[in-house]
Amino acid sequence: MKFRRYWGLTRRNLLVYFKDKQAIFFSMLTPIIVFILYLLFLKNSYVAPIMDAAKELGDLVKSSDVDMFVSGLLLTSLLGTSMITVPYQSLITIVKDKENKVDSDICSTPMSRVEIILAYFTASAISAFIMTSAVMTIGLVIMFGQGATYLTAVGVLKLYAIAFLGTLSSTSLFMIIIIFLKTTTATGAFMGILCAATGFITGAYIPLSTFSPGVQTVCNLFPGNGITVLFRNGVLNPVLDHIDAGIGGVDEGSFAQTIRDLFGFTSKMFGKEVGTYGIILGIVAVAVVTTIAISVIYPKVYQKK
Amino acid sequence: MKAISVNGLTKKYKEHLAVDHISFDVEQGEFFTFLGENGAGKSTTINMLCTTLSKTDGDVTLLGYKLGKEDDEIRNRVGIVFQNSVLDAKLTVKENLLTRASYYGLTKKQAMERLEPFMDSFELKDIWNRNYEKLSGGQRRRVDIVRALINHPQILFLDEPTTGLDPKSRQIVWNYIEELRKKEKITLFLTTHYMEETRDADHVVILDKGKIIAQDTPVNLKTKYAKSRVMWYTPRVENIEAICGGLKYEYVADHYNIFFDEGINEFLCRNKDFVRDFEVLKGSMDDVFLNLTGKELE
Repeated sequence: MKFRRYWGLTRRNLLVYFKDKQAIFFSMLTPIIVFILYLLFLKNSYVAPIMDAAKELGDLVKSSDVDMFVSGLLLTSLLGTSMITVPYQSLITIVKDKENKVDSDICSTPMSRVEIILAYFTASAISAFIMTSAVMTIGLVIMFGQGATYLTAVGVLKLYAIAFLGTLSSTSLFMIIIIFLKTTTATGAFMGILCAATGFITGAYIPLSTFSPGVQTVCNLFPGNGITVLFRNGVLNPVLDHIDAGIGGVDEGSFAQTIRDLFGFTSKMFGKEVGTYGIILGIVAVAVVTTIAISVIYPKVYQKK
Repeated sequence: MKAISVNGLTKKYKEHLAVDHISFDVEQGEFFTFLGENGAGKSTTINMLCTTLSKTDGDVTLLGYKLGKEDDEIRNRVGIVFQNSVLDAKLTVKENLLTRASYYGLTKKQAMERLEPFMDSFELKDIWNRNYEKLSGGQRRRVDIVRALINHPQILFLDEPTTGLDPKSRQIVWNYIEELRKKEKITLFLTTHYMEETRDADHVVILDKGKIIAQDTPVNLKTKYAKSRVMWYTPRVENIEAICGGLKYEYVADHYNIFFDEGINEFLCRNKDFVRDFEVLKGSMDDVFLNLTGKELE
């Protein structure tokens, strides 16, 4: 394997993605829809029940903290959805290259199959990380401007680490799916399904806790859900901890726990709660298994005629 | 050492034989042409020779390297201009060429050194920072050819490089290819269905339904498979049968076409009092193709 060849194709794939404004728009379509829904009604539907619950505690829960919590909730939904749609959209380059016979051009060079596959993977993971990090950075800057987020520097770094882990697992999972899609029409159709499903899987439209245990288990099988849960814990736990501290144990922590249960701070599989480390382990396991599958499937399938 | 040596090359898709046991040799520095209509197997053959398509059967060596066993050596030494452009529409000419250079392990500096001679000869300077999608058909083809030359190939495959171009752009592209032949002295392997593009070839192979039906120099092919003719400009004459003396003829617009296998001089001497305004035309590649396949090309 030669780094220059591998990086050359990676750079080309990055250029192809970032120079295509339509591709960027469609990869951010679900996050945009979530944001629009948030402006239209999601914010109010989140704030109202929290404020109703908080009323029983008098002035112990500040409205500014609730606003910060809801802003954070929006940000984690945007991050969770973009973590799914960006790597997929970026990987569509593989199908476009197949359709336009660019793969023949690449395979006519001394690049090995491993270099080619790895270049597509890397470019997609980098695209997703850049886009998610950009959304996260803008979101955090707005939140910091809005008031106290109670996030520490280490907490922020952890969020970027989650984004990195998420991009790797999403990319490897979609690499498996994309190899079976032969045309851009098929990728477009799948993108439509993905856009519709992503908002629900990550709990961006409706909190997952409102679904039946069976549906929750299915949604939790997707790494995108686990990543969103990790983001929620990273961004929102400091605010909730601060609210809980403000209540001062009057409710024995029940307010914060109710919010955590409602908005999906844990992952549930077959009715059993999966902790943070369990989620990380699950995401890493999906990434490892899919990477092994990629290394077996791609050399056999890619550009074999 | 031959540039390309092909023996019994075959490509089979299920029951369909796309290329059927073809054999030919290409000398180094030769301008070699594959002629045939769409679906004859030209592109399939080129794709196999360029290692992008696996062969079903046959022995092939390119520059002494065995196809299927030493593919990386072959890939380092060949360049391809594909039938359809394979460069990225949204990337600039510079970005397209430099990324492709990196596929061969070239640094930016090495790539620029390689591209420098083409800046003037292929007029790249003016379009260097323009998006590929913004270029005209002729300009795109120029960039495609330069892309194929970026690894300094010893063999350049041109798969119908002028298909879809207007006549002026075709001529421009051919001028660049001609210049390339003179300067780079590389082996050119062209597939085409344009007859006139075979005119300057050293060797022509005619392919039909995956099989080679004739191969030779253009002159020899014309001699073997096309009749020469005399175009005699005259109003219709009553005793044409007697003048032609059994030769095949036809009247078109304002002249007779009289076809010959041999004996044009004798005919003209015998009829010098009647046949005064005339042209002698050697059989064309169109005639060769028509006679061999019963089909007409563009």
